[in-house]
Amino acid sequence: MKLRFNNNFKYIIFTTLIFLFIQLLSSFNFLNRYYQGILTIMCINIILVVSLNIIAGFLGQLTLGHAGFMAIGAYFSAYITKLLSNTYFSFPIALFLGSLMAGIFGIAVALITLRLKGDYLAIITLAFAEVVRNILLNLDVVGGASGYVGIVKHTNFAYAYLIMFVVIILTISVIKSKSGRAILAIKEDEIAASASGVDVGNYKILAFVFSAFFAGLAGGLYAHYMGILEPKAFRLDKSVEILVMCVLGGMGNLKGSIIAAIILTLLPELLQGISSYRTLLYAVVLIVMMLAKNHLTLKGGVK
Amino acid sequence: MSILSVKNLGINFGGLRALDKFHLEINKGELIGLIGPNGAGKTTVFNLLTGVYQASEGEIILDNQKINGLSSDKIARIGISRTFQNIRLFQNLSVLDNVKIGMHSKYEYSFIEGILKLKKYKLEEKIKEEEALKLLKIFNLDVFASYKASSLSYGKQRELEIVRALAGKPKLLLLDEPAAGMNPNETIELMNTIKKIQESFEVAILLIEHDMKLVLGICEKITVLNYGRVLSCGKKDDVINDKEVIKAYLGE
Amino acid sequence: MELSQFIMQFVNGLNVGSIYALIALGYTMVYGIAKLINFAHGDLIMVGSYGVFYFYTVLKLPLWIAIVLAILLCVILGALIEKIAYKPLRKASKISLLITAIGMSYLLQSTFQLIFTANPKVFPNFINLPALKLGDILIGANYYLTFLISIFLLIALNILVKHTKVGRAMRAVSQDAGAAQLMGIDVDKTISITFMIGSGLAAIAGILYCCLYPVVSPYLGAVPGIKAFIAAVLGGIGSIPGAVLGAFILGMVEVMSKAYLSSALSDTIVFSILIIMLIFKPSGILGKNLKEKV
Repeated sequence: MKLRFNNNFKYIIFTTLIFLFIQLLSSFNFLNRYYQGILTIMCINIILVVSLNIIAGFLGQLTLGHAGFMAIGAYFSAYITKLLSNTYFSFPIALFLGSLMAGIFGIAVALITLRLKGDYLAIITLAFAEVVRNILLNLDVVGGASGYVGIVKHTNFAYAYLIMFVVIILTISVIKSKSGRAILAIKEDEIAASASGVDVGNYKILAFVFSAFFAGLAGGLYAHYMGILEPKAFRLDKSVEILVMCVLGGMGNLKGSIIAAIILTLLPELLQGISSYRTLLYAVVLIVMMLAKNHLTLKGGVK
Repeated sequence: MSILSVKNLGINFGGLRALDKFHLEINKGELIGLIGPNGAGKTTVFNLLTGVYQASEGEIILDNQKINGLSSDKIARIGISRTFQNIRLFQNLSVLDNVKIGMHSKYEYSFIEGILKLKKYKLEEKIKEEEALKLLKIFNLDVFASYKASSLSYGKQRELEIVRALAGKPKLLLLDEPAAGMNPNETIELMNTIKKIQESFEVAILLIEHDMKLVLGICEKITVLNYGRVLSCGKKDDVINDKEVIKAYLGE
Repeated sequence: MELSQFIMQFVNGLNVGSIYALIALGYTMVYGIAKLINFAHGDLIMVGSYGVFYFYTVLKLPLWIAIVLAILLCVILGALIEKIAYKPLRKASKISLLITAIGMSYLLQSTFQLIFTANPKVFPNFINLPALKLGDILIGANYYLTFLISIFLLIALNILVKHTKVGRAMRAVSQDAGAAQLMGIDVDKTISITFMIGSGLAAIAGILYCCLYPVVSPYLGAVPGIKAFIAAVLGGIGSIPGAVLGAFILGMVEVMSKAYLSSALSDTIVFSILIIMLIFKPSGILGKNLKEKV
């Protein structure tokens, strides 16, 4: 017990120090807008990977539709900020409502997929995200295919960092509670979990709601960082990108997936000089990583 | 006093009549053996009692409450816990967490209290952890508390499954071949432990077992299944001298 | 007029359906035998089309040689992909396998983009047979050829799977690879052959697809790929007749919804059908339900 508290405490100090350091750098103009932008996107990606980890890592369900939840949060929060125009609290309210909307869709997806797992779940979540994207593409209220423009750029690094921090803390807390144990038990063995008194359906829904809510939050931050939203930003590629971070970091390993998110946010920026080879390189890295990871697992070296 | 009363239970798998007119009475604190040849329907009885399968007809009453039609987790909360023939532990979780999940429904703090780590959460987690360690002590598993369940030996895994089932404080404990894969010495040790559990936890136990020595050694009553039907049931001595039973087991 | 328009759309639906069927077969056979959603399968369509474009238009080889070479290219590529990327992962987690397949898809797309640039190329128009005239309805040669070729291939495949030794081995491996191996079946070879057949079909589908829509680009395979994949799931993934049935249903739904409802929402309709299907019968129209034994 005592140890756990200490860990939390260390974590809080550590993250606060990082934050202060980055703030210091930017106030002395060591970090220009470009770098601050990368850092903001990094925070958003970390929120995404942590949120996906709840479904894919802890609950152990394969999903390919995380970009769908993100899109819902992004579009809905952007719509709300426009609706509330320039009220003082419009941004937090919009973020919250956008996430809430994503969470509601999370419940819906969870309810219809309760009996599915493995590949079937992957397919249905993929289809869900595609439906969301197709509807957005045809929804003139939010700009349709030409994009949703003129969103006020409320998101800055401080905002993104704070929210990322809260998301991580909350996720850890859920996992350390009885609810988290129940979710892990479902991943291990659904039948044994339910024979132990765990209401499998409820906890699946809980995991989806949390995950979708956080993904919506990331979407909201993204919308108010970009200032413009296009449905094509939420294609299958985006869902895959988040999943890849999750897998590279080790399923259910928060620390690992945060590091993977940081690396995979930086990688494309570093490869900008050779941009025509970027996707090729990315593809090769993906395949080699998976093969190497499997090789190591088989040898019992790394899990 | 009857704790479990099963009447006229039946189920079909496709065209196969897997269980027919099954009946069973278990009184508080009794230890009953369920035996029969392979494929007789023993595990099917367990699956029906715990809601894994839904019966085609019949009724199951646990402690004056009708439980057929309920989901597995509800039945577990009402008071039936079980082990599985092919061990189903949470292999990648710690031994301690396995037991804690067995206690899942006994935790009282709310979801919010859990997230915010309020006092009630901390207090209860501590109490439950001590309780879990105490339960693990029954089989001397407490020393392995922080080990991954998958790292335990086969016999220890079977024992851990029993501990996990006990953690839910059941009124009725179902053990599916608890001695499978154990050597004679281990089996004798297990017999004693089951007896001890029955007494100290005041729990009724229904066990499926092929090892007749174990069944005859500890069970007061026996029900014999053959081809999905009850061949004989009652006091141990009456059942083993039953002509039908001898015929089914030894041939004519 | 109304009726003849409907017939035209119907013919159109059959065509799209038969192309989807050829692609869906690859998905479903590979899934049946390797339990893998081969995301790179759609991109083999693109490889097949580029093959014909390159051998016929650029190298000016005779048509039939160009087509054979294009199909061969896909067959070899399909087998190679399996050997290099999927075989080592046969015992790995589903998610690793899935990501590797997606990586393969990206790899094919970006490689062909580097070779041929992202600019679309015009696919050669080599079919100069007369159109078929039914009353006042004109059916283009590429339409009836697509349909006939597809039906021929479907029948041939059915015979292969049901009545040959290779087919029996394929069915055995898809039931239980371990047991099949114990019975003396070369599992690795059988899986390779399955990938080869699937890839060959994808190449032919790609060529036929480009006869209908004569533009080749590195991302050409994505849309028909995902549609065919949906068709395979709809029919019951792992089931060969299911894939064909699913493909024709999907092709018809897509064409009809474009013609009579809304072309913008046709994809939404297709995906919604998939979702509804999975909710009520996850195993698909002709798929078998598998329940876990306790």
